[in-house]
Amino acid sequence: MSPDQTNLLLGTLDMLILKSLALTELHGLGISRRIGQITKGTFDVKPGSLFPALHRMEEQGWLAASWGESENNRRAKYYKLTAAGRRRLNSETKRWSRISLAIARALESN
Amino acid sequence: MSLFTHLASLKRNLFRRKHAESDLDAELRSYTDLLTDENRAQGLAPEEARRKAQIESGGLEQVKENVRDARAGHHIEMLWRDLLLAFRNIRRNPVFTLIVVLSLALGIGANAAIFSIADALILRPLPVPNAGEIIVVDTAASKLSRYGGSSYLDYVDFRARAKSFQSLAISQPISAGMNSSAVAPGSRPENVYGAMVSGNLLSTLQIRPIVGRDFLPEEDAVPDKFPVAIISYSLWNRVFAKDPTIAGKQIKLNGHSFTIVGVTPQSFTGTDLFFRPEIFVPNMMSAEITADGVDILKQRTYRSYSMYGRLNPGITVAQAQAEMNVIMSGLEREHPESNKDSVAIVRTELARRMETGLVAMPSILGALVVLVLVIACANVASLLMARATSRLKETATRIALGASRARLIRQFFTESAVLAAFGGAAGTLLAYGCIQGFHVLMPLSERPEGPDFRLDMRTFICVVIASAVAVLLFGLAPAFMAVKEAWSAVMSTRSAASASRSFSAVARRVLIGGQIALSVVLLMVGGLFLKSFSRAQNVDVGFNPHHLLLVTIDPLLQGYSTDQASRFHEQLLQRVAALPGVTSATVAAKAPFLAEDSWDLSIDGYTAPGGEKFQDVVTSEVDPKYFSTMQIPILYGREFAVTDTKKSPLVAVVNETLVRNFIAGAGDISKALGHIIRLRDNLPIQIVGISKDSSVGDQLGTPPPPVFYVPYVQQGSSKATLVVRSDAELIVTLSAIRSEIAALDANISPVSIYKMTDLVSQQGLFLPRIVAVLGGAFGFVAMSLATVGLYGVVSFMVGRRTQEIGIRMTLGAQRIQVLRMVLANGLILAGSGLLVGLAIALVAAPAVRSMLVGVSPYDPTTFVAISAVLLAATAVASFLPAARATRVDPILALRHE
Repeated sequence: MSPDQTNLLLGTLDMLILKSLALTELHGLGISRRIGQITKGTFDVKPGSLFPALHRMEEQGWLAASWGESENNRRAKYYKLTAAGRRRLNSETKRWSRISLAIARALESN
Repeated sequence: MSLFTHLASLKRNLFRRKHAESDLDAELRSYTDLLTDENRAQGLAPEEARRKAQIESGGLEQVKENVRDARAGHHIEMLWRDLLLAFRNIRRNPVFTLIVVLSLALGIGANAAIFSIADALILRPLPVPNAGEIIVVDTAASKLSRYGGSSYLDYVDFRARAKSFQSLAISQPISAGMNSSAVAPGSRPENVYGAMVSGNLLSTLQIRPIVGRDFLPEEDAVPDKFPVAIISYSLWNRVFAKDPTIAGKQIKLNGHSFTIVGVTPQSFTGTDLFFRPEIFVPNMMSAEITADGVDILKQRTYRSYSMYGRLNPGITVAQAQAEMNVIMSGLEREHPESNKDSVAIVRTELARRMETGLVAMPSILGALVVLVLVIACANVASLLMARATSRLKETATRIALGASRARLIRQFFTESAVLAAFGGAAGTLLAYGCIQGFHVLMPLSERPEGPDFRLDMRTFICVVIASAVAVLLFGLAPAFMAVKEAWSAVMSTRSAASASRSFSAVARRVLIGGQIALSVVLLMVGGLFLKSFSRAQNVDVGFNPHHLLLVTIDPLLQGYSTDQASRFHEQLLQRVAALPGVTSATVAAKAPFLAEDSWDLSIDGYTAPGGEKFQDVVTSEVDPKYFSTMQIPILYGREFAVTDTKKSPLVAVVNETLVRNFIAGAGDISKALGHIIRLRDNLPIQIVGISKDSSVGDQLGTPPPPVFYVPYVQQGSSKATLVVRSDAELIVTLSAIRSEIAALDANISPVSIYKMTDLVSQQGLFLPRIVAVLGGAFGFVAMSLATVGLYGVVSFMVGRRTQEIGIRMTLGAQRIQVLRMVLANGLILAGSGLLVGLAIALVAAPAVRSMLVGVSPYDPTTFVAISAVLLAATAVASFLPAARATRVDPILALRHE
């Protein structure tokens, strides 16, 4: 667990989950680890927020879930992006880039 | 998200909930397993790896709860589950449920009923399109008054001169004998009540006949030429069986043929909330319809019309008023003899209604009902709080297992909502019953008049709102309180029982004390009015109402002329007087409590303070022997005799009050004999007798007004009431009278039949009766609620102190001591409530003084009786739980925690 826990901004969790599933399907723990990895340990997503988000996104049609075998032969529920999820990831990425650019500019200006 | 996926997930969650649940369990378990594997891979021992994984996964229950929350369809699922749980809890506690539902039903039902009273009396808009635009113009005879009718001639001038109105119409109530046997075979002649109107009344009100047509301009212009009538939907339905070809058919009104030209829509019930005319005839036919018809069209002083209009677009009421002021000044200059000082008042119909005294009755009842609602809701709140407290452990356990605060509050709230829904439904039924009751309590009337109480959509909306408010106020607060307490019980190490020893316990005691105080006030009101009611029944009405039968007959309905009618009455009277058992019989145009009329009189030598010569005085046309039959004593002079005929000098009998008010003042009233009184026709009428005051039909206990009696033969009208005093059973006498009527003319049947004692009690005691019934009922309900509440509070206290009572008994306390302790707890609460209630009753007493007959508002017997009843009830309510407390098994009690 990173000592420097940054709170997730509202709405960023969805984006991070979508991003973590961009390349391959993953189970819950895998998603959590993948997010830790791609954010270089900045975010550590706990099951308390992860699973509600996964289920919500599944209900919204962005993710599809299925049961499968893990690398060490355990049954696990795998999530993957649907077409809608992929579109969502695209638009979220664009939106986020715009916002972060604008905020960076705002902070640099004097 | 597409509708389809949404529905799919809803379906999955609702119909495959079990599956979704086990799926979630498996998923979380696999998560923990994977985490354990990961930990082991990092070199931890298996046990340690598992423990660490479990810690890291956090409370799984909490995670599950959050996941469920996140799901679509979740809310419906939760609602369903909450509802099931609520129903289960409700079924588990039938007594609790019954009390809560009854409390709410009483509060909500009484409110709905009172709303329907207020609705019928003042709130309901006129049944016409755009009712808010309707303007009423009053023509008051003096600048002091805000009300008054208009004369036909004034109206004609207003209509010609006023530019503010797009339309101005008049209407006045009439009654006529209707014979419709030509159109509806087998229908009996009857009196119909209706309105004589200007031809544009319906178009002004934007009412279009559903059958036939409106009046034509010429029907509103040429006197006596166009005998046409428009009938109401109710008459069309009642007499003509909704004959679609009714237009053009002929009926007889007062013996004259009239052609029905139209039928008004069902929704239209007239221009007044209290009078529902069934037939409309144009003003031009006034001579055929009314006794003084010619004068109505020719005399500016016959101010008997109500005036309605709509303003031109863009014109304000103030502008219309200003214009009417100018017109009135003009009329005053042109016709000083009739229009001096008279003023026109322009108001919207609604504004005019709000200025009348009618607002008072619903307000008084409304205040009573709000008290009951407050008591009922306090009771419900206190019961819910008590139950929440008793479920503290359960709640605390659920919190410990991870239920969220919102979830718990929602569940408590759902239970309250279910209770409120039941309460609302029961309340609606109760309101319906009350409204039926109002109809029974209303004074009798032959006319289609009186407030029209209904339980309509608006009342129903009122019920729904009341239920919703009850839920919000009395479900939410205890829910929050319970959850907060359970939380603090979980957070601290205190036991659940001690956690409840806080705000809600005190709040409940205050609520119960307040309830008792309020129910004392209501019981006092009910008690005082009940007593007043029984006193009023024995009030001297100034005549002997027992063994008196009133039979009203109107031969004009059969087309008799006035002369023929009085001959008929004379013959009938002779036959009836000869019947066995009949001791005395007479005829009166207006019998007390049955009908009342007033005439304009000028009394020689008297002018009212405002300079007005004519006084409006209650008048009755009566036959010889009227006073002896009614047993009204004649103090001076004589009553009418057979020698007072059409050709002899005009004579009158007056009552004491008339003499005191207009002739003798405080002096010797016998001086009034021989005094002269005149009607509008200015012929001298000499006073030949002075009668003792007697009631004419006002509320009992009110001082009698001046009354003026004239001989029936000299001034009589056609409709008359036979007043018969009989020693025989009145029902026997009645059937004998019926056969005498039939023997004279088989077509005539009585318009109405009453026993005088029934009339007196129905009409004269209307107000005391309704207040006594309502006050008594409300008071009883309030006391029952308070008693139940007290029972709850004491039981609750016993439950909480079980442990303490156990210790006391272990240490040697006697059962009687325990009993006394618990009983005292309840009675102190009841006693303080009683004292506060009595204090309020004493302070509020003067407010009802004017409505009480022969009872002081401080009546000591009532105060003592109410206190005794209340103390007895509360003693029982406290004794039951106290007795239970003495049966506490010390050992069990100590194990309780």
